[in-house]
Order: sequence, then C-alpha cells, then structure tokens
Amino acid sequence: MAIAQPHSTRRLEAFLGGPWPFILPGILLYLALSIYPIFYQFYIAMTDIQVTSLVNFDFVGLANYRFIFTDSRFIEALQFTFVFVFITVPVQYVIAFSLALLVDQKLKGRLFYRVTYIIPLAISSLIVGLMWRLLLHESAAGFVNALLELLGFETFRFFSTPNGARFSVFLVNIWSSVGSTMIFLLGGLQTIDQELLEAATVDGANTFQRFFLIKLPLMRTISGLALIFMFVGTFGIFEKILALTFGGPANATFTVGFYMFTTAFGARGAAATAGLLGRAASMGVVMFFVILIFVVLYLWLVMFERDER
Amino acid sequence: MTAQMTSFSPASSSPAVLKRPLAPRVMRVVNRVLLYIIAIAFTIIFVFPIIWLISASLKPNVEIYQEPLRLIPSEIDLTTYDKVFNVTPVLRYLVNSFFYSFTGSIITLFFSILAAYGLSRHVFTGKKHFLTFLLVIQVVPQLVRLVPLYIMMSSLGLINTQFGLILLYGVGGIAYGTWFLKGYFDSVPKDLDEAAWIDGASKFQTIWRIIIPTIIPGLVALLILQFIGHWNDFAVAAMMLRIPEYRPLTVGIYTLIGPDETDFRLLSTAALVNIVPVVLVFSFLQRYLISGLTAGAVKR
Repeated sequence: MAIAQPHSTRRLEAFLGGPWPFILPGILLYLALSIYPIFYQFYIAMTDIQVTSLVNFDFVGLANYRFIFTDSRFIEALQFTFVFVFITVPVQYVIAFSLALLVDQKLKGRLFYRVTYIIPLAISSLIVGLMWRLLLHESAAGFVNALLELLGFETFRFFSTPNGARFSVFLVNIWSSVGSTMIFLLGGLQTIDQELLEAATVDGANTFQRFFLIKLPLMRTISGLALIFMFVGTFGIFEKILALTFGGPANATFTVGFYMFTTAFGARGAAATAGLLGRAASMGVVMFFVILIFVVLYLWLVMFERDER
Repeated sequence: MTAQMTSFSPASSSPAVLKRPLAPRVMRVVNRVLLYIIAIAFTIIFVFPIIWLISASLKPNVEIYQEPLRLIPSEIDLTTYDKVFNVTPVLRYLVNSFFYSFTGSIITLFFSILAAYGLSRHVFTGKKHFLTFLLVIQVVPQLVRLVPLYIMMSSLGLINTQFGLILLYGVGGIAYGTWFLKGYFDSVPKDLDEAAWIDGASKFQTIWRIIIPTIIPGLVALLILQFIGHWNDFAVAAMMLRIPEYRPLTVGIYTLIGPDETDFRLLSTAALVNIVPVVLVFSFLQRYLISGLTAGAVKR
C-alpha cells in the first residue's frame, strides 16, 4: 500500500494535468441529459408509464409497439411524414441551389438579398406557423386569398380540405427552411476555385456546362450534408403543424412528431392532461431509428470526406 | 476552337471582339434584368410576411376584414399594443424568454470553453473520433428526447422549475459549442500559452487572459446563435413548464391563440414581440453568424 501511494498520486497528477478536467464537466452533463435519454427511452417505451402515475407503472413488453403499429392514425402519420419529407427535400434543394447560384452572381446588393433570404431562419417555428395561419386564413381577413381574388384567381381552401392543408404545411416549411440550405450550399460554391471556372470559360464552356460539369460535381459532399440536414429537419416537423393546422382537418396533417408530442403532453401543449408517456416513447424510438439512418450516413460522409484529403 | 476561328477571322480585318453582333449583348442585358427581378421577388417573398404582421398590428379592427390587402393603415391604431403590454402577460413572457435564453447560453459557453480548451491544447488517443462524435450527435433533434427527459426531470424534482429549463438549454448546446469553439481555440498560437506559462500563469489564467480576448468574435457568435435557438424553442419549454407565470414568449403566445384564434391584431402584435428582436440582431450581425450556421460543412 505504501508503495502504491506515490504511484496513484502520480496518476492523479497526470490526470489533472491532462485534457480531461477541462473536457469532462461539460461532457458528463451532456451524456447525462442528451445521450442517456435516448437509451432510457427504449426502456420507457416498454412500460405503461403515464404523466399521472410516474411512480406506479408496469412493464408491458412490446405492447406499445403493437398498439402504434396497428393504430391507423399512427400509420397514416408515418406515411404523411415520409411523403412530406420526400416531396419537400428535392424541391427545397432545387430552390436553395438556385438561390445560392443567384446570390453568388456579381449582382449589385447581393449581400442585401442574401440577408433577406435567410431572415425566416431567425423566426421560431411556432411563430412561423402562427404567422402563416393568419396570412393563409380562409376568412375575409386572409391576405393570400384576397390577393388571389384581386388577381382574378379562385380562392384556395388552405386549411379546410386535407390536401389544401397538406399543401399549406409544405409551402410554409419551404418558406422557413430554404434559407438554411441556401447558405449552406453558398458556402460550398464560394470554395470553388475561380481560376478553374475562368479556365473553363476560356475553353468555351457555357453557363450550363460550367454548372453541370464543374460546380455540381464539386458540390457533391456538401450537397450530401445539406440533404441529410434537410431530411432530419423535415422529418421532425412539429411546431409548425401545431400552430398552422393542428394536425387537421380530420388528422390529414398529423406527423409523427406532432402525434408523439400530443400523446405525451396533451392536445394543448402545456395543458396537464393524462399523457401516455410509454406510448409516446415508443413513437420516439421509431423516430430515433429513422434519424439513426441519417446519423450513420452523416458519419460515413464525414469519414469519407476526411479520407479524400 | 478551330471551327470558330475559321468562321470569324477571314472576312474582317479588325478583331472579332469589337464586331460582336447586337443580339448577344441584348440577351446579356435581358438576362441581368431578369436576375434582378428574380432576386427582388424573393426578397419580397421572405420579408413580406413580417411587413404584413406590422401592418395588421397597427390597423383599426374594421380594416382587418374589409381591406385585407391594404398595407398602410388609414390610421395608426395602437390599442392592441396597449392590450398586449398592459392586459396580457406578454411583457412577463418577454422577460422570462430573455432570462432563460441568456442564462442557458452562458452555461453552454462556460462548459464549451473549458472542453474546447482541453481538446485544442491536448493530444490523446481517440481525439479525432471524439470530435466526430460531437459533430454527428447534433443531428438528433431535441424532440426525440422529450419524453424521457420529462420523466428524468420529474424524478429530479425539476419539472416546473426555471432552473430545470435553463439546465436543459445550457447542457443541450455543449456538443455544438465545444465543436464550434475548438476551431477558434486552434487559431490561437500555442506560443502564447507557453509565454504565459513561463510568466507563471495557470491554465485558467491563460484561458481567461490570453485566449478569450482573442476569440471574442467566436464567443459572441456562439452566444447569439444559442440565444436565438432558446428564444425560439417551444417544445422543451412546453414540456417543462406548466406554471403560467413561467412561460416564455413562444409558449405564452401559443396560449393566446385559445378559442378566439381569429384575433388577428392581438396575435400579430404578440408575434412581432417575439420576432422583431431576433430578426434585427440576426440581420445586422449575420456576417459573424454565418460560420455557425454552416457548421458541419466547415472543414476542420
């Protein structure tokens, strides 16, 4: 023991002189409150725990999963979420890329355009939903319908028909998040060697050739990253639904995130209702597995990109 | 190249460039004009909703329904502003939002500075993988953790406490903050550390006196980005807080929708209280925030 003493103090000193006293406090907190919950959720999903009985609950095995996968509302929510993602992401990518190319041009005031395009990023998703709920309102006060009427079009039912409501969610989501993809892609465009483009121009390449043969291939990795962020961001849509359509009409705009939140914490958000936490957790696990696919893709891209250099 | 040469050069004695036909030049001008029209159109699309909110908040009530297209009100009516600030608890929500967002960001900043220092100034096995982990884990959205966090916070007795919410805000940003600041720490030469060490400064003194003053732009960018994120959060706050006086703006405004959801003027005014501060800060300081917005694409 007497021999071990100096040895262990030396170890302690080495530890205190190393990086861990600086890294550990933050990382331990992060592990406890951001990583651990992800795994804890797997356990909760196998219980019947509720907001009203947080201490007395039973282990129910896979009953929650059996329930949600036979619940037509959940299946439809899952379907709508995927359809929504697979329509939104390509459209958002094309618009964002076009905008990035636009503000990459030598236009007067291009900084001004760039700033205004990403203003929606600073606004809370919930407030974005609320704002567009007013703009698209079907009553006489709705601006968009009044504008359509003025221009000689028929008014559109943005909320009272299932497809109308789905279209509204789609529109609002693109409006609010296209800027983040644009700024991301713009960062990639600005790293492209200008001499390369000039050399191509001298060799007679036109705008389209420069785009498809030089810019697009060079933007491969960054496009992959942008697509991953778009997928995850769109898949987790929740607050915009809450404020814009509240899942309606007739559950047409239920998304997985929206269904999970309302199952756990009640229809009116902060209202204390008997929340089915166990069931909501099983939805959370399903969401996690979908997101995990993108985490793995992201990891692969990051590693791949490192190996390239 | 050769085909072009033969078609251009023989006939003219002066260089071909000067005799460019009119059509391409006109096309160029048309192209430019089109580009400007498109650029301005998109500015309108992205800015207009906010302008409309301002207009709706200032209009007299009749004009909301009778002249929805009228942007400049016939008279400025400030009754809703009076109502929002003196009747509804929006001012209280505003103070809450500011308090939660600011303290949460400071907690993130504190732990991130320490961890970024450790990562930047030390070499250890698996460091590269650890950094990759910090980067990739950020993709998992907070929504996926809400249910387990509710149960954990309940058993810690932190549900319905402001401390609990601030703790979640502060800790949630550590992975991003550490990763973000590590790059700034790397940009400070290690010679400065060594000089400070020779002068007898401790590691904490080195961080505080040498490194922090040189990376102020990075710290401010992180602080603002975290602040905006918390300011705009709804899900975590709605999960944590059930006491009305504790509500931040987003949750508070959401409860204002209530059954009388068509009070356009009230909702527009309240929404503006939430939007205006962050949009102003974001627009004016954007140059400094871009690097944070594109995190993940930045090569480290």
